[in-house]
Amino acid sequence: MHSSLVACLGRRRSILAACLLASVVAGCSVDDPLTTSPDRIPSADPGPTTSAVARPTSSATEQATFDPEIYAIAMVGCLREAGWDAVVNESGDGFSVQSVTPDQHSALESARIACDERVGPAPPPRQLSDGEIRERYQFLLRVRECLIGAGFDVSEPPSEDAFVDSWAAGPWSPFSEIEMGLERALDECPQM
Amino acid sequence: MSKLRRQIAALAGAALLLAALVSPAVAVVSKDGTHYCQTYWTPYARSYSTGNTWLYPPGSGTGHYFYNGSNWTVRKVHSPYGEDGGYWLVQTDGSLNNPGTYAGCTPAS
Repeated sequence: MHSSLVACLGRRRSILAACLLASVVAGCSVDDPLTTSPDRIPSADPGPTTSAVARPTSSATEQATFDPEIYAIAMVGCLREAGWDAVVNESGDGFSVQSVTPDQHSALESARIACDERVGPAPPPRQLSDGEIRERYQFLLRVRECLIGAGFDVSEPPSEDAFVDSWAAGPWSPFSEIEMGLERALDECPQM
Repeated sequence: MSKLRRQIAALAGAALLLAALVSPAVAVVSKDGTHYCQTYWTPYARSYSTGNTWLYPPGSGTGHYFYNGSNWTVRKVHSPYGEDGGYWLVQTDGSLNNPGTYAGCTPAS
């Protein structure tokens, strides 16, 4: 891993973006996780999204305070330093760790927590307001139309009130019934 | 003056101790099991969850970690080809939908 990226990992997330940019500008070594997926390098302008569905505005607020891609890159660097075979995943909203046996799950979780303390913990999910949940319902209705347009069979949605009532336990999702071709469905109509 | 400093230091220490005591522990929910597939089928694990979520597909030596945030998100990860299954695990610091979280098999393409 590049030394400038390593140096960044002990600092707070607020300066991670600048550190990562400096690391990328300076170039990366062969075993740098960034070199295995250069398209994962975050940019200031994310460009147009592949989704034809406008996303709820509240998710933009979350993005302003937490960028999963930048965080995943930092976590991968930290885990690799600790000896784990970690890489940023293709979608950029997480990472994968290879060569993990079931009896190593707790050790890996401990390593992740230790890296959380170095990088700064990822925010846990927060309680959404009633309005935000209703906003997501409207978004999922548009996703449903997108999926139907892409050739998937999707059942009728619940009422908005029923959707809100079921939020805590896991609400209806137009992706819930898609078994075969889920990957294509998520490509064509992202869920958020 | 030094007495005032000691009082300030004691107050600061007490505040830090109080903050540490009231910090909420992160509750983790999980679902696991074993699942095997017939020859030429590929095992997978699927989750419907919020929060920061681990997925270990059946019999795979790969763990997948996703940042779902506050949104209910469907995730599906496959075991590499050549593995017929085994232990699988989904774990999150958010919420987990039970019927939407399971392991299965898909025909190898």
